[in-house]
Amino acid sequence: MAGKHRWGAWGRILGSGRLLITPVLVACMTACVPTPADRPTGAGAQPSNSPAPPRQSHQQPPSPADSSPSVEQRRDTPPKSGQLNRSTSSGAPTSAAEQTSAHSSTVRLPRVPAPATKDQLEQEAYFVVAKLQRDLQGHYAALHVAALLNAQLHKTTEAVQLWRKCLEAAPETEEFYINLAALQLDRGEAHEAEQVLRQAVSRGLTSPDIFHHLSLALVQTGKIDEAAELAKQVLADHPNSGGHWLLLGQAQLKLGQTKEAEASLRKAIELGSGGKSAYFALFNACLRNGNRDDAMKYRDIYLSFDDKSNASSSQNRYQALSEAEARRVCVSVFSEAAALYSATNKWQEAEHLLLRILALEPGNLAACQELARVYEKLDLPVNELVVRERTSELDPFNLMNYLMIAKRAATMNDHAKAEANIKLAISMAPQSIIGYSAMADFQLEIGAPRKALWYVQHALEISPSPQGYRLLAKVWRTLGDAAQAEQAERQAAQLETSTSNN
Amino acid sequence: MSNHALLAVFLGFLATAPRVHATDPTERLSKWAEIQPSSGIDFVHTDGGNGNYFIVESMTVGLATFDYDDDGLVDLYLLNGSPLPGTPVPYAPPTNRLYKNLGGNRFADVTAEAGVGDTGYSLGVVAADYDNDGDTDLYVSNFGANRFFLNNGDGTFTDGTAWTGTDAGDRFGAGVVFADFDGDGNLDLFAGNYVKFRCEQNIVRIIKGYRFHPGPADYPADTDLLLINDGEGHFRDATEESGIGAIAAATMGAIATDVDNDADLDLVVAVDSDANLLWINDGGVFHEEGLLSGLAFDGSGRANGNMGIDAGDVDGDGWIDLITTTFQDEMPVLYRNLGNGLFEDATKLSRLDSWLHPHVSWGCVLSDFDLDGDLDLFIACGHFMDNIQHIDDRTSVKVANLLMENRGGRFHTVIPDEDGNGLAEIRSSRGVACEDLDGDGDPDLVINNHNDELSLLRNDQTTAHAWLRIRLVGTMSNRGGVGARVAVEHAQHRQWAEVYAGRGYQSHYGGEGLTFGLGRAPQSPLQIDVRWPNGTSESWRIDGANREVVLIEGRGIHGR
Repeated sequence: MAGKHRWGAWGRILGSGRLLITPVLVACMTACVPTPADRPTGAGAQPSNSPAPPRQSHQQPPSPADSSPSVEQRRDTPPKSGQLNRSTSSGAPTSAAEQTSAHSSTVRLPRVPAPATKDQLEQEAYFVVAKLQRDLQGHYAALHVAALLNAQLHKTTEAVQLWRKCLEAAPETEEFYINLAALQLDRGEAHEAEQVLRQAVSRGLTSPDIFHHLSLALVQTGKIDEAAELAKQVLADHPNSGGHWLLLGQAQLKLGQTKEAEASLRKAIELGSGGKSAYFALFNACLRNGNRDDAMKYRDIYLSFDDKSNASSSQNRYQALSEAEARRVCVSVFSEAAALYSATNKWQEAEHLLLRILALEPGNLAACQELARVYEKLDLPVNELVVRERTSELDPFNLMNYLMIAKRAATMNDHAKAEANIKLAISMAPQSIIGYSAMADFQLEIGAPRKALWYVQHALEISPSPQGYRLLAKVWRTLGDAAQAEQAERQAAQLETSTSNN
Repeated sequence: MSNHALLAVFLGFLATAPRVHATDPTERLSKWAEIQPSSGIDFVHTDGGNGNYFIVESMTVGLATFDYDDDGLVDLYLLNGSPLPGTPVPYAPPTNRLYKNLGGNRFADVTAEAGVGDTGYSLGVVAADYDNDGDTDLYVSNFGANRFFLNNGDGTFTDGTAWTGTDAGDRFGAGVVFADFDGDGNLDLFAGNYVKFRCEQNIVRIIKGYRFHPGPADYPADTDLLLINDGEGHFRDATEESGIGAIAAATMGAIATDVDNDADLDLVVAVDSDANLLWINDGGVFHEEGLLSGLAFDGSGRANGNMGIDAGDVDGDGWIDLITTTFQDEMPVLYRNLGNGLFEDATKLSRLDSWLHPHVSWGCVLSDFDLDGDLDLFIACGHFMDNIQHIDDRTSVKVANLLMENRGGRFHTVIPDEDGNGLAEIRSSRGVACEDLDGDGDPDLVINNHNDELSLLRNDQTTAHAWLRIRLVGTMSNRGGVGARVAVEHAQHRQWAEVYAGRGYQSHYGGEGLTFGLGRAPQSPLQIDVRWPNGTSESWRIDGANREVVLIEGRGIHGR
């Protein structure tokens, strides 16, 4: 059945998706693992079953004690105003930022994947996992990473045992139930998977993801009607979940409810869950409903999918990793490990692993973003700038990347660079007020209220808001026009009142 | 016990252990006795390998059960490999073996005197009375030239390969099927082929330092053959004119069945790692409708590594359903015939045990093992890669087989009885045949195990269920009634079955009679309706169960 398991952001398991829900684990880590300073950090205060904000623990700057050993923190002090623009770099800079800051940056990012064999990568992954377990003193979050590696390398017995230990240590962690159940399904143990997921539900873990996997397990055990009912329940609360529509449609098709199946499958495709299996099921549903023209249309779409996922290739017959898959395994494992090291303020380990990910996959956006956050935490602005520049190259239409560069440039008093990046952000999304507001704020801060006025007025033309009028008032006050400032405050208040009345 | 053996046992245990956690386990149907040690059968299969990992080693092996001497007891013909390049040829090379059923669960090796000791590398087999002379002939599909053994009617055979024109070239054979595709009363021959391979083209996969057999994607797929029987004992190659030659595919099992109830035999071909083929018969010309019918792929649209195939009316609706066995990480697929030219993947709805998912499955048998009036399912399992455990711990070479009991269209996994139970054996099984070898009415099992001894499982259920065996003799149709459809009705319960020649994993069984389980002994006459292969129909009402009846086309019933 399509979308049968959840896929992690950076991870992949042969034959089925797997889950890398680091934020929750990170939250658990910060709660449970002693830091070098022997104190828990921020996000760990909340219970592990409460929704933890992604990477929340990263946002707390480490204490001096936490951050040791430092990553050359003190040597990477921000340059004085204008210094970056005047500098010239030596050597072979690899990005725009490196061209302007190579002399002070302590990071360089590769552009070509480093060579490595499958065996080397597998060995390296096991080394990292073993070290993580030592460093984290066998904490269950480290066991989770070990389980993840073993599962991807088809050492499933070990992986099952590890995830069971994880569940014993942290029975409120949804991801462990899902991981364990997904692996059990791969092992042909659908009945056990169903039991594990029912345990999760009995503990109050009732996310759509848990129910999705429970539905999958129910399908595997032949309880199709129960799976369909469960999918309907979830869809009542989450009507835009394409995965659940797909699951429902496939279940309805098995139950012979072909009209309903056709409708559900069309909905799934409309919502973006239009994988190969969705079109195959819709082809069959249409055929069984006598809708032959549509059936032929969906058959052709089904057949147009890459045939590699259809006919078994000579490689995937063996369930063995290709080199590319071994890289993905390493990336997923290193990502998890890096997040855990970050959560426990072991910054050097985190930096090392994130850089290794980028050596294996220079275009890995998530690793770039995480590395930038690490440097932000460590207050290494030049390094952060280098990484954020790369991030913007990898994700060039995301205005937030340019605003982050601008923010860091501004703190380094590189006003020209900051302004240029905000302008670029605005040009990427001219109907979004975020860029205009950011520019107005920035111009105010650097003492250019006239410029700020233009941007804030432009933002208000696009979308009037109380916040916008308050910013306008601030600009008028800076310009010494109290009357205009008063007028803007009144407009902000009126808008707030009308919003609350509505 | 050697370390190697200990490891094998351990891995086997791992693979088998989850069965006790099956969703719907049952202890019914759990009594099976392994009688091979006392049967007189000393056959040990060899794949002829020597560590070169030729792909042909991974394709073994079928078997046939048929009454070669017409004494009323079903005999066994067991296929064997032969030494591949690099393997020393022993003084007495391995051959296929014919075992005569002596009764009382005893068998005698009659290979030499019967003249069927083919020393070729055998993979598939089918048996039928192709010349309508009253005895059953034998066709063997090889890696190399195929062999056609013509039954002389006196317990011996003559190699008639050249005379009949059926050597099929020097190819990589697979499943073979006899059926009267053109409706002239003579059995035609479908000979499947796998891929185009020569030993000098060998590819060995090395993963983590371990050697593995190549797969079908490593070689070009081959086309199958359709040979038309001219009624004079010779065959004519009709591969191209029939349309069968239009598609090259890595064929494994095949079966001729009437999927659309139009009274001619269609052909379903199980294909390794690609779409299954459904050849719809339109007067001897075929067109392929696998995708449109729903038989090509599983319910997710995935092309499986299909191995064996069997057919039967699993849900009792009068339409023939199909089961295919599959490669690792794929469930065997039960294709339910919806009756409108369409099939649906009913694997999960029918609750086939998900335990099968990580394993490679081969032989498959739909048969009423407990004689309760519906078809149960036996599936043979075992990986062919002897290093598989080094790259995937979910399966192994030796894996338990699986028996599932049908209750109202849903299957319940049979948990083996603890007392020396044959069902609990852990081997690397391939072809399976199902026959009443001991004449007690219920079907027994014969399993050809890769590089191992035969398994001979006697069905020891004590159900007290009644049965009826129907043997067909064609007069205008082919003499064995291959392709006929029979319905038996009692107590408002109607069952259907067809006569096949060639089924399962490149095997043959069931041609000596159709067994119908009747549950409790019927109090009223049984209604029997036969549609002969030529399309004519006859009906009878008979009294009494627990017996075999012989129905002769146009002439009536003969007890036996």
